[in-house]
Amino acid sequence: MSSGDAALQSSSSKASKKPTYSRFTQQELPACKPILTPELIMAAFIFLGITFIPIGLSHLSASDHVVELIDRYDEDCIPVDNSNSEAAYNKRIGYIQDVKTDKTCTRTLIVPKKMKHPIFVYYQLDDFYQNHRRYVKSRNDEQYRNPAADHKTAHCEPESMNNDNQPIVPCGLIAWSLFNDTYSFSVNGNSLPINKKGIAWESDKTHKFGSKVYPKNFQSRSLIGGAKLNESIPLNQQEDLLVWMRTAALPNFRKLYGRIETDLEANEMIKVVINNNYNTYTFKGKKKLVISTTTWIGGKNDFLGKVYITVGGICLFIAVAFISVYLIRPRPLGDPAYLSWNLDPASN
Amino acid sequence: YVLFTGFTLTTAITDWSSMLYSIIYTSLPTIVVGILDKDLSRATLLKHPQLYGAGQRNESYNGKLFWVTIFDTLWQSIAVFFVPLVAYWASNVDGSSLGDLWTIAVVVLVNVHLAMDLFRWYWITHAAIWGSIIATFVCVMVIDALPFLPGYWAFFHIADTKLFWMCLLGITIGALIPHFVVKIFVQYYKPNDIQIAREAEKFQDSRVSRQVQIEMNPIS
Repeated sequence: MSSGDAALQSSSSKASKKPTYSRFTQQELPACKPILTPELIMAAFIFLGITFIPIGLSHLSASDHVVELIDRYDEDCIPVDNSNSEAAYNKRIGYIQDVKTDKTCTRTLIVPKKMKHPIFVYYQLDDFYQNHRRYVKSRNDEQYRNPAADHKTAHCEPESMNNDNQPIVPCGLIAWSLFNDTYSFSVNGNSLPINKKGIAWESDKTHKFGSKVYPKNFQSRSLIGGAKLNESIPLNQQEDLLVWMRTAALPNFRKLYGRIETDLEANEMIKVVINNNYNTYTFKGKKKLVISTTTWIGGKNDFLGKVYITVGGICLFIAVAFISVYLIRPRPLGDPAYLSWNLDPASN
Repeated sequence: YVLFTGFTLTTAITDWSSMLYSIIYTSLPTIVVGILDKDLSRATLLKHPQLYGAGQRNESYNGKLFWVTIFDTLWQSIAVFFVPLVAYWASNVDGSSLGDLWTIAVVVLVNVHLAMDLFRWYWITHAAIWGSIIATFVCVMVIDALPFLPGYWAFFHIADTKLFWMCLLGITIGALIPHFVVKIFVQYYKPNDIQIAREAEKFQDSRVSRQVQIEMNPIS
């Protein structure tokens, strides 16, 4: 009797401990249960194939339309031979570091096809690691923005203070190594104006660099790394500096020098007078002048077009393969005859 | 990336993004899927208890599958890293922009990959997966709106170019093609029991009771 009572009591207390039913805890929420049917798969691959291939082709055609002139000038613009000997290497460095020699150099380029304006002029540096960790850190954005923050030179060592312990504005190695080759262009004796305004990011000009911050004590230490800055122009208008401070992601990179706002006809000879000032000889980097038009994908680069065509082609191939295998050996979906214990009754 | 920075360990992805990757960008979908995803309904399992044998035989997690997954992941990493690298080689892209592209490409890729392998789509699953992708975009935009960080405005600048979106699309599809192809061929020609049972549930059970929306009976 007492055990019966106890059983009754325990079953009622068991009932009260049962958790309340909810669709969430019992995983009974309404759901979409997609299954890959052969029709869906074929449709997907065919769709991918017929969209990717035209995209790839349009990429390639855009890349083909870009007219690009690249001229490597660091080897020829120096009166020292290009051998790899120690002596030649030292002579090159000696030449480039000598401030007294006139380093102008004239090059002639021939336009291969008609180029429509705006034509972009870049300088390209190869093997220059602007993405080196200590280099990338060597800047102080607070100092560049705020005129009262002159003394904030944290992270900028060794380009933070000059020999009189005055802060350098803009501090840091990135600013210190500012590129200082200049180019001037002429066609048939008429000089070709280069528009050097509007080459930096607007956001840099308005928010990142101050309109009241002026360069001070720049390049005033013993080692000069690059260009000097005009001390009467505020930082946010020094567009070459702004372009340079956007450190490049990869060791072979280009930076915008300016724009040519007129068209160039095919077979025109452009004469470029270069001031070969920048020292890439110490680390055996390369300097190139690039004149290029752009299209909706940017500069000349076939790679993405080829990727799209390859992916599209593979998709079509897979679609064909799947269709043919499906026709040869179809499998009815969900047929219980294929369950493993039904296929092999002996092993049950 | 370390190979292209002269081995100086510069990170292309901003420090904040690296941290948020595990916290916001990819944790929620994994948790939601782990809790809620279900491959077979209760009715099917009660009808064919042999289906539980798949778990006992380690069909979903074994040595061979592990190595296959490793190779698939290796391919996906190669695709995510090298497509932007080569597409932007010798161009004027800056470090922060390329880092943003990599960050977003990785997050989109892993979430679409997860989406491909899901069995059941509840509204929570939709919210977690697409929500994570949107959250990543928002976080990248917020990080790039802080003027004291060097990557200021980089995302907006690069997202303005069509090359960015083309890279993103190309990476997602290209990286997932091997996985998808293997999946469809294996599912169609060497289906495991669970796959057959799922198809049966969907296509053949018109007369099987749909009254699965009942409470669990107490085990008496």
